[in-house]
Amino acid sequence: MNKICIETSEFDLKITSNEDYFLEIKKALTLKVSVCKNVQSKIIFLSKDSSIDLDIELLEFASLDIQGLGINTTLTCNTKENENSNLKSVISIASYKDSCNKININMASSNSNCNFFLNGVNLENNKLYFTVNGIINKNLENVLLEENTCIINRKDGDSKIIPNLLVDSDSTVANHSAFIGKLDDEVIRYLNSRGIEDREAKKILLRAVLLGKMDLGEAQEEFRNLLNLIID
Amino acid sequence: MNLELENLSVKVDNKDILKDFNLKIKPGEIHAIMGPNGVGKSTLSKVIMGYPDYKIVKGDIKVDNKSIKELEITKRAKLGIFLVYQNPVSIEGVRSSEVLKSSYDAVSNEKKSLYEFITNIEDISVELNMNKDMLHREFNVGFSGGERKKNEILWLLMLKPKFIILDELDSGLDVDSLKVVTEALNKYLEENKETSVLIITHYTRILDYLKPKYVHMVKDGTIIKSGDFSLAKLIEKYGYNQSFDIKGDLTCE
Ligand SMILES: Nc1ncnc2c1ncn2[C@@H]1O[C@H](COP(=O)(O)OP(=O)(O)OP(=O)(O)O)[C@@H](O)[C@H]1O
Ligand SMILES: [Mg+2]
Repeated sequence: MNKICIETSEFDLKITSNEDYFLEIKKALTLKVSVCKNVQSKIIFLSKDSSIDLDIELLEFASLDIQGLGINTTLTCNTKENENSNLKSVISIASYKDSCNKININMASSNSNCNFFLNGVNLENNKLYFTVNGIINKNLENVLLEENTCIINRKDGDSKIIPNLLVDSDSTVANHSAFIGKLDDEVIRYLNSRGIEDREAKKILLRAVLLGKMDLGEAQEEFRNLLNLIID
Repeated sequence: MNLELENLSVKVDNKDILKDFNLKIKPGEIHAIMGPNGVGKSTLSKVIMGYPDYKIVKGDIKVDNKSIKELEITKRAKLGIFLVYQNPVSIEGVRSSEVLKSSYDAVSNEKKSLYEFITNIEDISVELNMNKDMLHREFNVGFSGGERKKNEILWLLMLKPKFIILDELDSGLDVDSLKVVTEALNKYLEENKETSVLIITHYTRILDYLKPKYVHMVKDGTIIKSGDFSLAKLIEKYGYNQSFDIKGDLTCE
């Protein structure tokens, strides 16, 4: 895995061969990712206190698995997929400041797949908004778009999920799921009954919301440690 | 562990569930509770565990002659009370090994490295005829009813409790699994003579394996009849209503 620490405000990542990247984002960033024809890649990113403007383009037969955690991050993300491309994205945001995030998923060509998970934890009494627009262009065939969004309020924050699916084609499958809620008391009690204190139980469950869907490999420890500091 | 329920009355959502419930379980004793659906058996198990939404309006719960009424649920777990749930929850995004380790670190006095810990639970999972992979999967997610029950027993054997409540352990377990699980429990009880057990069940098969000394019949939130193992057989044969009416030498001391 190539590890890149990004300290500039703009960065272009053109992926031309099957390689994986770990990006550590140090300040507000405009990040352009393009995955070339026939290339398969995985990107893991981590950002704290920096907003991200992310543009992803997948060329024909490209496939990208992108997983990222933003702490106090505001994310704007535009994706564009070309023929026979495959995008899997799991992005999680934990915030104790207002954060309004916007995702635009543009399925521009036939035979493309997109599976987008956006998970959030609203830590304090702040705003956490997710706007997710999925656009499937006219006359496309065999397009699959799945958007899954979830926000857990640790306190009584103002959380919103605004989903829009604009589908202009018949031969497509497009799904959207959205959940806003609190941690499940029944599960917390269950963990309590096995000796795990409230604080630790909540930490385990919030971590699960944010990292549970990711497959981080070696980066797991770093993500966990960072989260432990934040959600104590 | 010596556990006593004294005139215990409990309300949930302002509804009376347990009424003047009395039960004494001495160290090493195995008791069984049987009763129709909805009479308050699971409620009883959660009250013993310390669920705060179940309000004790009267009476007391004592462990080794000290009231535990005010003890929080985690403190009771640390005292050695372990509840095997009728319907164990699943937890998305969290591996079994992770929750088990947090629990072990919280409850146990022995310190174990992660390696020792994993080896230990792998040994237990072999004993219970479980797939070792389950430890590295999300906790109970996609597990069958029986697999969840085995996971409960795995957890139990890891924490080494002094008072065990089995709330319908037998529901969900197939015949062979019930045998494997009760054999593991019997072995544990053999090695831990002071550990007492409260079995909640609708069927005698589990009692055939675990051999309770006393069987109690519960109705309308209280024990209406106590006896030995033969009471369980009677309930199985005649049902709750008729068994209650049958007179005979069934009462325990
Ligand atoms: N949290 C709760 N809120 C409201 N009512 C409850 C709650 N918990 C239990 N009850 C009610 O209390 C009664 C007893 O329930 P409980 O689960 O203890 O029954 P049970 O004897 O275990 O039944 P079963 O044999 O079906 O498992 C039921 O009428 C149930 O609906
Ligand atoms: Mg029950």
